[in-house]
Amino acid sequence: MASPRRSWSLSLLPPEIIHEIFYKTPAEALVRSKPTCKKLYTLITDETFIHKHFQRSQEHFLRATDTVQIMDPSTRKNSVLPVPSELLRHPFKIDSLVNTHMVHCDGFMLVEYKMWKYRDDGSRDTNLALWNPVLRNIRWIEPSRSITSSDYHGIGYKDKASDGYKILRFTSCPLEIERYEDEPEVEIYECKTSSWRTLDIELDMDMHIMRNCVAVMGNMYWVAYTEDEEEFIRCFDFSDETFTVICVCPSSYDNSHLASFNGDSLSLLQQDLVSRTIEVWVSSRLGDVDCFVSFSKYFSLSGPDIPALPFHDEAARPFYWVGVEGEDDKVCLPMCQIDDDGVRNYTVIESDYSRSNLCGYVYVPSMIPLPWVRD
Amino acid sequence: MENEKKMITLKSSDDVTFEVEEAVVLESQFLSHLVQDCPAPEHKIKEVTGKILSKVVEYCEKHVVVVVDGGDSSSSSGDDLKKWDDKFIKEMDLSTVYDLIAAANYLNIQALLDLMCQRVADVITACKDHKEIRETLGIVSDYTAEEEAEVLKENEWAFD
Repeated sequence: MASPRRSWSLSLLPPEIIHEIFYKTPAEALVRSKPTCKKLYTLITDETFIHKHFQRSQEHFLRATDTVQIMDPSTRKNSVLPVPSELLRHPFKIDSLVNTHMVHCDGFMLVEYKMWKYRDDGSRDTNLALWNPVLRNIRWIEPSRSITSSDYHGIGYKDKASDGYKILRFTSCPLEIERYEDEPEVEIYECKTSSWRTLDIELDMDMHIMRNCVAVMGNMYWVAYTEDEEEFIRCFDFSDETFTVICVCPSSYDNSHLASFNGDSLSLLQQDLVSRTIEVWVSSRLGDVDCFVSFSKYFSLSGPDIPALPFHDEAARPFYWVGVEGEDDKVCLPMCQIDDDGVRNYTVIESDYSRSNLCGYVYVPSMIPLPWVRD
Repeated sequence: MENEKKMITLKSSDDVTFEVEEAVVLESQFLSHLVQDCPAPEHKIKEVTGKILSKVVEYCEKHVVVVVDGGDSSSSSGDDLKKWDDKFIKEMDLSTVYDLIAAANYLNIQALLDLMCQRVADVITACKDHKEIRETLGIVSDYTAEEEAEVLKENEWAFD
């Protein structure tokens, strides 16, 4: 390595070159670079730069259990961080993120706790937080008067520059208790004004929605199904604030996993639980006006050696999974790479995790600050 | 098509000369224009020293050969090139990297600029905190103690 004393300095390079270097530097390392000098601080915190840096960033895996593990799939490097204490500052005194569900949007994780309870004054304790793992910023979101244990949440935007981010809450099972039947079923929280408003939407309670969901280009998508077991992709469009069914799923397998593809489309990984055939589908581009969304097959895999992918309707599952290998509490976390050549496992980390197959997400590190004015 | 090997001489700021094939010069947008507009046999590049120009020529010669071969060769040439690039930057100290960034920027050689920027980015990424980044990359802090404490507080969780 070079000696520490020299006549040149990174800060002497022209700003556009420094930005070129910073585009190639991961967000976490840029955050560490902020306290070096004022010039670099200004370049790193420039709003246009932050958004362009995010657009060039690669997808990572985030697992949130007793620790936060962020893995870069291209290098398979896994960084392990403690769970931020602010996220654990919850009335249930939880010590782990295992019982949360998260939705990713622009480097933010919308964290929802499944439980809720009353405060002494009759209002309800918040069970929803927005978190940027790179900036370690967390903000709890005060609920309106309504929370149910069958709530779903989403995050998106119409025009994020002028209008800001919005959070969606809707229930799949409205309270049918006296005094509570008038509680709103669908609400939107405006980060810009820090307030909830009710949407006048009649929910179709015959359409069941899976927990696994994805935010793509400002809108939310879920796999939904009806009693006759047909599967659909259901969308909440934040620009006109409506739910729509955008297409029928190519097949109705028990194990369906929805994810984003290329930043502007959906991917759907499905496995038939009996034959273990895996099919991966990719949708047409989302958001093209007057254009019906359709899936085309990306690849499929069949054969005697295909393992059964873990399946849990209540949890998010990215393209990797967790299985027990070995004895006692010793658990390996194999990452599973699926392509048209087959399924290959890579052991990523070894530890004594349990229940941890329920808490993995695809996530893109970003330095976009939380959408509230700093106090 | 001009397939005969036309040679061009490049002269550095400190008068070191390099005789290269025209194809090598074409890797640089700046030099391609210069050669087209001014068909002299020798071109003086006042902004680049002999030490750095030798590196630039070494890089361009390597890359131009692969492009010529690349027409019918397998993808292994891409892998070989990547290995060569890795070795090329590994042996280099940061002050040479800086000079090469300036030269690649001036001569408009995008691939070389990308490679050098990536090297600096990797160095930043490998540093564990802001002090190591300062030390390694030659950054002098202009924060007062209070201001630095403020930014560190903002970052509180970013140091594990």
